[in-house]
Amino acid sequence: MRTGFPTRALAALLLVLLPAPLVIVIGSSFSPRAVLGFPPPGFSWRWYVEFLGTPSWLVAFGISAALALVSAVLTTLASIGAALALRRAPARLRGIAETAILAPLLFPHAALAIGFLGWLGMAGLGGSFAGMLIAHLVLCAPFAYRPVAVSLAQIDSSLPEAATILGAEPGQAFRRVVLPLLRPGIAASLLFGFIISFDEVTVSMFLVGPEFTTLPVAIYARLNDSADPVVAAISSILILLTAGLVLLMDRLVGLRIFVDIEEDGRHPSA
Amino acid sequence: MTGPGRRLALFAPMGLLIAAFVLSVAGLLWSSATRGGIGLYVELLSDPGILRVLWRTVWIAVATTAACALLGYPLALFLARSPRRNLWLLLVISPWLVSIVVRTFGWVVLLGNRGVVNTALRDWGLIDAPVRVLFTPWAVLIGLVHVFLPFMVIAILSSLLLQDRRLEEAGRILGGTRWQTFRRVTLPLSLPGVVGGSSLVLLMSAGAIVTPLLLGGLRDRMLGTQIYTEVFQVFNFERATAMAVILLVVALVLVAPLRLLEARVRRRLEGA
Amino acid sequence: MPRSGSVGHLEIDSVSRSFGSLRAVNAVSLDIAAGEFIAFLGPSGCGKTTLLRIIAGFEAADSGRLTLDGRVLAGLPPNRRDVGMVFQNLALFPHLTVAENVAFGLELRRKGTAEIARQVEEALALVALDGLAGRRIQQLSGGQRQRVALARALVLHPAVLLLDEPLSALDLKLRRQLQGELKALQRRTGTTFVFVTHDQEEALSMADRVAVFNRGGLEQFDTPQALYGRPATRFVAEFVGDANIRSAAQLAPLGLSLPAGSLLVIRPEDCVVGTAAAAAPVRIDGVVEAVDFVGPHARLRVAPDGMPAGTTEPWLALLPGAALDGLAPGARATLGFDPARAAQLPASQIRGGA
Repeated sequence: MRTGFPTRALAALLLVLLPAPLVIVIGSSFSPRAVLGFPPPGFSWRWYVEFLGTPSWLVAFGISAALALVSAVLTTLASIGAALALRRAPARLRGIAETAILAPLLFPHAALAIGFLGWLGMAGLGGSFAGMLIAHLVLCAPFAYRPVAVSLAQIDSSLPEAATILGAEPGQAFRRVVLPLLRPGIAASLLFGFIISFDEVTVSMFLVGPEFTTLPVAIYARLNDSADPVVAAISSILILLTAGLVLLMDRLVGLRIFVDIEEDGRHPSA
Repeated sequence: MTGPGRRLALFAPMGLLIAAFVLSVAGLLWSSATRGGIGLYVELLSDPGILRVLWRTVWIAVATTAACALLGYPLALFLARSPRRNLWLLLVISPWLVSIVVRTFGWVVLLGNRGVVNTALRDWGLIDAPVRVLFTPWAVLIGLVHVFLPFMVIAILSSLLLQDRRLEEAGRILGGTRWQTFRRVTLPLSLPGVVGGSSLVLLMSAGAIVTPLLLGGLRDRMLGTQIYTEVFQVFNFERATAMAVILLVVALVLVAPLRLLEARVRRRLEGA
Repeated sequence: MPRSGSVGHLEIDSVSRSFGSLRAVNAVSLDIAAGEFIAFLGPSGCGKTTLLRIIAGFEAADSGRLTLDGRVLAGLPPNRRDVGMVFQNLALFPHLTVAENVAFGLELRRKGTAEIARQVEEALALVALDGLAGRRIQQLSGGQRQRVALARALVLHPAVLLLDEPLSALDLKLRRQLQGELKALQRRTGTTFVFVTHDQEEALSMADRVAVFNRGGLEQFDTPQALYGRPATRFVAEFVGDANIRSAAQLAPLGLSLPAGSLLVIRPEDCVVGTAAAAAPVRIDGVVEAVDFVGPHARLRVAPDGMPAGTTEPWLALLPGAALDGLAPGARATLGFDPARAAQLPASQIRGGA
């Protein structure tokens, strides 16, 4: 059954509007003038050169990349552990634990930020990498958990059993059968963790310090100050980077896991 | 392999993260109770300025959600039926490649007095003076809808894709027109997606900071922007804390009916 | 790759297993000889799969004793039992190729590369999959997957191979073909097979002996012929093949006297209808209710006279298609049988029935 004309027209309009910022950002990054505008009045690499030549930008980029990498790896490891622990747990217990893991999604981030600001400051972690990392771990955990849990649920319990009866010790069955089959979920967890952390700004803007900032917060500060196209240049680089990550994931393990995660979300009982 | 001790050890790292989350929520409530107290809430909630912020937050969040649902449903339906679904889906989630800050700023470029839209309209002779959209709640609404629409589309799309296509065919063969079949078969079965997506969008838009700051400015504040102002411009941490608690309550109150509805719709569909 | 005949003697001694208040396996004892092909037959939920999983070591028995060639199995994990298993869903590793699946167990046993390659090749040849070693599991047909699962289990030369309804997902024709292959394979390897199924035809046609389960208990353990010809319980008589089962009271008006409380089991193919019935020792007059033509045979349902329709059990008869001769629903007919060919269930053993 096809959709009617009004539906298709609306869909077409939205499909043009949704990616529009991408076009505007990439386009205006090549502007030779100092004001962000679209379409750009000419072509120049000027703002890319400025980004790569400004230490403060590069430091912020490095901090965000490190933060995202560590957040992604740690939350993915924690998620693997949690998913394995909950796999055969009683349904009630699992429901409670999963609600707790996903809870940060259900709290407005502006409120969560004030909460972090309070206790991280008291613990002497305000404006530090460690404090920021703790907040990012909490915010990434729900996104990292889902792919691993969905992926694990798809592994039929007879597979590790088959490994066992073929002679594998429990550890061998996990390493040789469960772990390889978990790869798409692990890759998706890492990707989600990385992107969520790398892009996080709402909570981060409360936790940066005078000496320490992340790239999105630095971009925000710059936009508030003066809207020059260096921001567009940085964003274009990030677009390339993220797109590269997604492509890499597609090549390595496929993107099917994303559909499965969504379907699982609609059917939490399954 | 499934001993309780082993399970506990496996869960421990995630447990620490949950503890960090609980600590921030508990800390928020605790410091609000001890340092501001009830008096501060009475003061805030009798301030007409704050009440306006509260009201603006609620209506912008609700309007954003409604707009996302109304726009997102046809788009999701189109995607579900299209043979080139994956390509379109890529376009839908492409905004996620750009930081929300930059994405929102794209709208500043578009909507400003000398932005793309106003310039085009003036060039075509449709308007004389620029239409003021930027730094009004309308700009915030547009920005939030753009930011959150992909979440809604994906939520609805997944529930549409879960449906057995033969159900629609059964609806048609039983004599339903296309519209009747949609209204009585497709729509009810996809409601969990709509409701689930709505509660997500409602929650995120009520707590947004960056988009209202950049597009709404500091005059027409939402709760998120108000908190930001209290912390970074007024340096009044007590008020910020109290506002955060108010935001928490508002978000929970807004989302609660949707959560209940979601549970009911799901129960009815699954017959459990 | 046959093993010496002395390997694979499995003794199950009053094994029980409960889940909550449910007695899944109730004091089952079976003595399975080395090299035997055994079928566990019963409806779903009868305990046959649970017993299989107890033998494999995935479930523990609450009580009872399990020995394999004299070794007590209790406490041994599945990987140290010398037992192979073909799972209902086959449980082939989707991330490995056909050859890698078959090599999995050999690698765990730290065999040399050349030795593994040779044995994998041999096992794939055994199940006629020679050319497919490098394929992925997803590229195989249902029947091919079946064979990979068999090769993967048999390459380790287990003392006992457990098969958990491995053919249930296949269509009828392929199923028949694989049943034959499986039986031939078992003959060739001499491995003890324990095959779980709910399909009585499958059990009867393949197994040397069949254990019939119902509600966790063992109803009868015997050869297919004995099971069919001399059912020990009403449940077996009804579950294995069609049967006319009549009580002493029902048979008295026909001039047959049975010990009170006992039952007579008359197979439909032992009944005759029409002119042939004239010579039968016992005759019933009635009206044909239904005729199902099934190729070589026709199944006939005859409602006996003297009872209002629906209040009494109709008689079933299985006739050669040619003997149908104008018998249509509504026609009057005489049905006859010879009680000497019927099996009698003594009163003491009537349990488990409907």
